[in-house]
Amino acid sequence: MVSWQTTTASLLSRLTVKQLLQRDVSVEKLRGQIGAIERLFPQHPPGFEVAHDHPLPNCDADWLRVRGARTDRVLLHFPGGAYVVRLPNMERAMLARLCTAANARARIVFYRLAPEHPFPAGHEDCIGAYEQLLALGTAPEQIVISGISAGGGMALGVLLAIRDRGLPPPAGAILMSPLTDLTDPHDGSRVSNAARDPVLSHRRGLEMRAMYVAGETGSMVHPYVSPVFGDFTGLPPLFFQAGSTEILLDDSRRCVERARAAGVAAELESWKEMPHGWQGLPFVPESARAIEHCADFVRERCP
Amino acid sequence: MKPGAAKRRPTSRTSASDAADWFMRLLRDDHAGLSRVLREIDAQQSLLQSSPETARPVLGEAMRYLLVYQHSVHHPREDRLFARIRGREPGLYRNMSRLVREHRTGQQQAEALAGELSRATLAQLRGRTGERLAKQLQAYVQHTRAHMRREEAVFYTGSERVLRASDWAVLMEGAEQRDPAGDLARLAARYPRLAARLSQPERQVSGAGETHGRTCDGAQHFLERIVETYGMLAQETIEVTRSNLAELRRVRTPLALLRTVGSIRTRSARLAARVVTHPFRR
Repeated sequence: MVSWQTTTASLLSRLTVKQLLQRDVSVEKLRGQIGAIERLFPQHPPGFEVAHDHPLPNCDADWLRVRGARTDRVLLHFPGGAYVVRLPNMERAMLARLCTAANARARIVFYRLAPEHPFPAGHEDCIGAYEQLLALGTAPEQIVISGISAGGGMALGVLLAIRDRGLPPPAGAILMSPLTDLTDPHDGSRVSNAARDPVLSHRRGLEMRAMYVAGETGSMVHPYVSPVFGDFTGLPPLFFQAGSTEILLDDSRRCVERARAAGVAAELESWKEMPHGWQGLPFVPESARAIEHCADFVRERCP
Repeated sequence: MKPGAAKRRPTSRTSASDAADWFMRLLRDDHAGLSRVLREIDAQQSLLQSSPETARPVLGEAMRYLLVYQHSVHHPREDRLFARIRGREPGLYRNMSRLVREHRTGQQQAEALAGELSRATLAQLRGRTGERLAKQLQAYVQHTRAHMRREEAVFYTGSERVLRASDWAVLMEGAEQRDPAGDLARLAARYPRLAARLSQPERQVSGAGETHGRTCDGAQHFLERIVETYGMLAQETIEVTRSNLAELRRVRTPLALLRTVGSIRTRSARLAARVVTHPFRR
């Protein structure tokens, strides 16, 4: 049974976020309005140290560490936001909970956003962050890559690029409701869940997705942009989570199918009636459980 | 190194640090397997009331795995480690005495839960008994995860530093058994239903207290549509009001006022018509 907190969050999202996402507003206005949600989250998660050492050349990146804790595990996290907006405080707060549960520290990469910096700018920022971790001496088997929504798609694209460039693979990847197909197929969950999804709408989808590829819609089938079209051979174990009523549910299902066909350990947790990005809502009990499941995966992959 | 791929067992001639690595790796691999199974228990407990016929067999095998391996092999292994640490540095052991107590209480809880699960009828599992057991299983999972986190903090803070080669040699004696959860084929030989569940590509997880047929999907979908429709109309109303006010603010002459009133009337009439007709169109 869905908790009352989730029901309330879904209702509010249906009345506000979903309406906003399907209206004809500018990117600036969208960033402003989505940014207002940020006020709900503290800039620094309590008990955590947010550091900015080892800066990246083209984008911001934070280190999140539990004060006084020692651990070898590192989460390399890519935030969501359809590649055009972001909620850094919400992402930090979610990652802080994951770090606590998994006894890990995190590197969060605020890759460059479209439309100012279309693909491959953000993608290169994220690969650069992984290369930097390796250069700093972090063992790849202690790294788990994670991403939520568009960040999940970014994480998969980065995994494909890591393999293609011959870099040592990380221990695994956590993909929370990832956006893995920018071609927006009008079938499956994108249609069947269109009315039920309390957050996302693809009414303005094409316009937003086109920003990421600078209008070159032909690039949308590139595996680094839409990883569902990639060859998953040689990727590390993948752990997907998605809500059963999300329009993006099939993005995860199709990736799991392709990954397993390529011999990659991949599994999907389909959470009943959870809204897109519920892992980031700290007041929702299902969020705490989902984060614990992600932490179990981290512990499993990085013993 | 990947989980389950522990190094070759050190011999008596290998260094203390290799022996420490080997033994600690064994404990960490046990935690990796335990984490995998805890995730499955948490998923299955959420379905215990709605699908007891499928959830119970998996939960039964998961509890048996916990009792046969984690509580009977892994925890005694850790207890021996803690006892060695106590001999070398009693101060460090003070943090560990709680962990040793938790091993005992955890085992008692697991035994009680496994017994209740097997004794309950399907009808009971669909009712209050199922609800209570699901809550207890969830609490057990949470408690075990917190316990693992505390242990990891201990692992990271000193056993390798405190213990000597002779300690590791003693600890390695009899530490042969490996966690079956590290290898699905091996797990399947003893826990086929659990292994089958773990190898599935997709797992359903629900919120607490999921029961069969309690929700009325049709009514819920209808309500969602109503909320969405009126949410959209409310947003349109806000936008029309904003643009009406903006236009009024720009008025400087009586003629402009007349024109503005006209356009406000037209816009508002259009909006009113949408408010009345749109809900019935969907």
